[in-house]
Amino acid sequence: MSSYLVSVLTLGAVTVTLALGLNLQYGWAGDLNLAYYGFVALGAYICGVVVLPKGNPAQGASWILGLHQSFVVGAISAAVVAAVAGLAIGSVALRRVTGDYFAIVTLSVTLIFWTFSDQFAPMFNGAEGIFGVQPAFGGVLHLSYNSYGQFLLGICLAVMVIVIIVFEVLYRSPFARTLRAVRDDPVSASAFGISPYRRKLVAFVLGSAVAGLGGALIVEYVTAFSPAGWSPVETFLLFSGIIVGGVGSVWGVFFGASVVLIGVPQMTLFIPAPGGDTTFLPALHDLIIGFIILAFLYLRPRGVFPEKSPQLGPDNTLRWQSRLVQAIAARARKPRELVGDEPA
Amino acid sequence: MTAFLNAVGFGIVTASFLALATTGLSLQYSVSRLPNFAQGDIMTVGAYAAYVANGWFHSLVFDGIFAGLAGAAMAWIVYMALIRPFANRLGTNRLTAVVSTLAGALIIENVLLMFFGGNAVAFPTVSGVSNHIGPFLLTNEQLVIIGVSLASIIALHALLKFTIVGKAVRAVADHRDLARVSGLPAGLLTQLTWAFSGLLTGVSGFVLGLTAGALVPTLGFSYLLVIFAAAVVGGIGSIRGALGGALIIGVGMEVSAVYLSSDYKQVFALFLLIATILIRPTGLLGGSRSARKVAA
Repeated sequence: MSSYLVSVLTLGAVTVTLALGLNLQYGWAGDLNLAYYGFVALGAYICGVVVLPKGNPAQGASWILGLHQSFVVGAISAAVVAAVAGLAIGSVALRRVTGDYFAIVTLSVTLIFWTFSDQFAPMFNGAEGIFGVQPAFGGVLHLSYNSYGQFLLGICLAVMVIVIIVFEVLYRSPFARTLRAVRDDPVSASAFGISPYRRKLVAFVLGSAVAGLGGALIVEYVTAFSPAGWSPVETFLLFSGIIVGGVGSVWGVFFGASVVLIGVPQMTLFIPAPGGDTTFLPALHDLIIGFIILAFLYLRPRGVFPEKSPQLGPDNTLRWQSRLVQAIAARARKPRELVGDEPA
Repeated sequence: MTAFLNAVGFGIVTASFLALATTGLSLQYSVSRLPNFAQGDIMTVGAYAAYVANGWFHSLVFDGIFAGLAGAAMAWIVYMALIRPFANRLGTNRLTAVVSTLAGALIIENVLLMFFGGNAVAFPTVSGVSNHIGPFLLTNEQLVIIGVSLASIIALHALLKFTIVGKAVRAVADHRDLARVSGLPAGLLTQLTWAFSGLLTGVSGFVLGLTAGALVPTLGFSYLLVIFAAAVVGGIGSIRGALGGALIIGVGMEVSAVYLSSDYKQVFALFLLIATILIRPTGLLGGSRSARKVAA
């Protein structure tokens, strides 16, 4: 496999993983979390400082921890720290605000984190960022440069597949159903005894953990991470994959993230820039993403593969319910009405 | 003490261009009930329009007029293309319009990036003669900035308060359906309000360019949350609130830059924004009835 293909596929797998985590928060819980990439960055930093040895300030490398642990420990601690940060932020923000105010609060949080990571050097080496992350399992495997790339691709693909399977199973679970109920109609959901706050908080924490894990993969792939390498706008690029694929739909997001976030950047690489202008192509790329989002919002707001709406089977039960649930429902059968989409 | 007073004086200058953009945001919010994430980029459009106009006329007055017109056109486009299609459509929620304004911000910023490049372009600065006004040390240019901002906002207030169009706009903002059954052209008035908000925002971008001295396409977006902070702290949807909020945020930012580092001055505004939203979402200065309803 050419190293070009390996790098594209690695980035693709990580991007799909990240988009799925954001989809849990935006697609299922309906929270416009603009801080998502902040959690990715937090995960990347944490994984970096856990994997790296102590920084030497004399060489312009100062960061906290420096535990010199293996990549597995780094990835787990990245996910855990991101989840804890998600719990802290979500438990305050989700309790007090929803909708557009939530978007404003989360965007502020990520800008504050970006400023601190850029300006406050002792934490993550300031504007220089962390660097020199060693290859994962390097001490055990001793792979060549090329085969290490393929090995890392394997790790990223495995993580992506696991995350997809988990989300596919989760999608059919009572938790995800109540989450969608809360998203579509929080008042009705609370009338049925479902706490919107708790459901949303669980979704927020789970999504943050996925973000942290994705960040760990990024720092392992890039081997460095600095404020110049990420910006709060990245979250919005992830949204484009979700909107194109289908908000809430796992396979839709897989499709959308692969096509929009991997396909479009690769396509713009083939366009010649006028006069060797280095800002032209990134600008064109973001411009295309913006227009793609708008086109889908206008013409196909539910995306290419829309989220499946619950359909009633012949015996009035939801089609994806297990046989046990169907049996229980059959016992207490009553004519049931679907709650429509009509806004109150 | 001198540093403090200078910071306060500079904060008042910051506050005066913030007040224009914040008033624009409040106007938009009062008729459409949606936060416009492209507001910062409308400022950038105004600033670049002034830069282009300066190449033609070499007159700051024309620059300002041009910035206002470009901002008005841009805000009208933002409303027609990004807000109106999603505002009352069935099956889409409020967040759809928020996402569409974010996409609009991305598009505007990158169109500017493609036309003007990523390098900063120098903005005309007037060599300042300093005056002692009370305890503050302000240049002529800064005095003009404060004057223009105050005059614009007073004019807007008078327009809304004393003219028939202003009364109609207030009726639409207060209760859209009631205004419509009374025979007011609510759609047209909303478009007019957006264009007018863009006028203020474009001028605000021009003034921001004057104080910054150089333009980059990300200039406006970096001020987006500062504008939100001023609007929310003052109570979103009211003009007096926008003025008060801009003053609190503008002076607070510049004073915090003296005692902390100037790199953290936006962080101060952001903390105030978050604290206000979480603790008192109607704003420190009361806020409008609509804000209370929406933020509940």
